[in-house]
Amino acid sequence: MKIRTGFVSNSSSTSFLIIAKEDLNQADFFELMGIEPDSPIANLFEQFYQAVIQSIDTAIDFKTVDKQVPAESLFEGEWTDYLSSHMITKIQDAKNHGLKAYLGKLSSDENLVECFFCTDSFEVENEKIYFNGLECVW
Amino acid sequence: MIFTLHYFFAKLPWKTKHNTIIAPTNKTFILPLGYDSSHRNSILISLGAPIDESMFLLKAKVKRGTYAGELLANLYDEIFNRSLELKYDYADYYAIEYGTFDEYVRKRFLFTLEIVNDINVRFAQSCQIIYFQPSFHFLIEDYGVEFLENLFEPRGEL
Repeated sequence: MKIRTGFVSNSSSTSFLIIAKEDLNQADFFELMGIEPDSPIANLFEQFYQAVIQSIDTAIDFKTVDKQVPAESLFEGEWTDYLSSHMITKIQDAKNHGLKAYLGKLSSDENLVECFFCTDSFEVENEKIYFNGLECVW
Repeated sequence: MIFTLHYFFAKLPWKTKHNTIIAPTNKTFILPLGYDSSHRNSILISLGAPIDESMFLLKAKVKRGTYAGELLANLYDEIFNRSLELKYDYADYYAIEYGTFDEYVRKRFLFTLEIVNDINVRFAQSCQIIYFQPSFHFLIEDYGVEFLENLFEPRGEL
């Protein structure tokens, strides 16, 4: 398990990159976050999970993608400006291993919970999922 | 061994202004105070029994060293190490200046009489009364109160 935390201010939205072995599901998300499903504060992470799912802009299954195509070129449009070299390395690695990648944006204009996680800055990883919530987007 | 005034203060049954003695219980109460003149959200947390960080994380059912574990550890630190504990503050610094705890909370914090009465009736049973100004965005309004109530008084208590 890796964990990196911090705080970003003056952010109206934050892009995220998730790389997973399987389709995203709440059980794996809770395991990644380190919270039990019957936690008395599970609602906070249920809302976080729902915000993430509803904010996914692009989803790619690298098992179905031509290996000759550069990984970063699969995320077109505005995403080319938002991908850090660290994210591109992670996407390239996901491609090499035939994993799934999800890109999206959380917004501080939505509900309290999404606003909180949008303005937090973190990078977490376990054996099933990698979640990069470090990059700020205006 | 040195015993502070706070130690005895926390252990003794509380006497209200009506001289009604209420024995300490394990019940925790959360009282939202709204926003102060600096637009900071404030909440009173009245604890029936002390809780350490390990028990706090255990009750929250989060794993130490994970994102949720770090978030809850930060919340614990904010509540218990970076907030003002009113009984301690009163006993150590204001007991001479203000004859009663009522007078202390009314004059120092300018709480309304309704809040002061709430403290008398319900919060007097506690071992700690914490004046908490959360920095976590989601700890406001009804959601924040419900979150803290679930956290401190979960259904199916351990």
